Amino acid sequence: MSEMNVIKDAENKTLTFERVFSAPRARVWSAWTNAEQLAKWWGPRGWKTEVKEFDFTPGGHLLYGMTCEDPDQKEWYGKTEWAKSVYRTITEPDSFSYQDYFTDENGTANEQMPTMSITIAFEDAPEGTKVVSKTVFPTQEAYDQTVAMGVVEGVGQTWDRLEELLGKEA
Amino acid sequence: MVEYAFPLDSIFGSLADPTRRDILSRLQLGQLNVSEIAEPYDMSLAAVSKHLKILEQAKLIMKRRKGKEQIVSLQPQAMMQAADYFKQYEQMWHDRFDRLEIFLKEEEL
Repeated sequence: MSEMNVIKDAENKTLTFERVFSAPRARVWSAWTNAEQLAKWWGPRGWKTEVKEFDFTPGGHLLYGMTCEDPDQKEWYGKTEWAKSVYRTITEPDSFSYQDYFTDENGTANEQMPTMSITIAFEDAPEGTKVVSKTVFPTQEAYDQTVAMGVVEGVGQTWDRLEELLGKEA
Repeated sequence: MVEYAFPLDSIFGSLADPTRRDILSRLQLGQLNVSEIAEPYDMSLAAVSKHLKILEQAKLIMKRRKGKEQIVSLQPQAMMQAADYFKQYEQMWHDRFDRLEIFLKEEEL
């Protein structure tokens, strides 16, 4: 099983995750772009993903609910969380991009939550297909959150230093 | 479930305002009382208190009374959770890729 490669670019508020899958590109592409297939692996372990609306076209969207069916996850058990991906660009079979929203069951976005811009790219690799998932965290237009993120990161660094001082494991 | 494991919405809402960000960064240097916090800002004490209330609701700060004064300090727990967000986001993708790998393998059979 291949490992996930993580590329952090704090300046551009971008996190990139890469991993190679041992399957042909067309096969991997359809796992991401076919609602029935996506629902089988997208949600967290113990959660059932149900696709309510799906239109894989630029400007179209995926609206899905995830319900926790695992009693061991305590306070999450029985809860349903809704999210929406609004597709922006689709270039089969190379990449597609979408805006990620936390919503209610009608697909109305929670404006307090950060919306992330995500691009999924597919490349041929010797072992199969490399998937590159790139997330751009909220931009100035959205909230002036770039700075807000800076504060969060700054605070995180402060916390790291505190942990060092206390001699605790991170 | 990692994506929703802490009240990110109120934390982000709190951080969207420049005064509140400034208050937080000043508190990183140490605790302050309410009038010390208000001093540099060209706004009423009531307006500053409103900002503090929002930060308190997001659990980013904590207020306690010491005699007649209200002492404000950062609340490390919520801070840590906010910083952890990126770590959790990474973990979410890690798990998601694992499930995709399994899905692709099962489909081969």
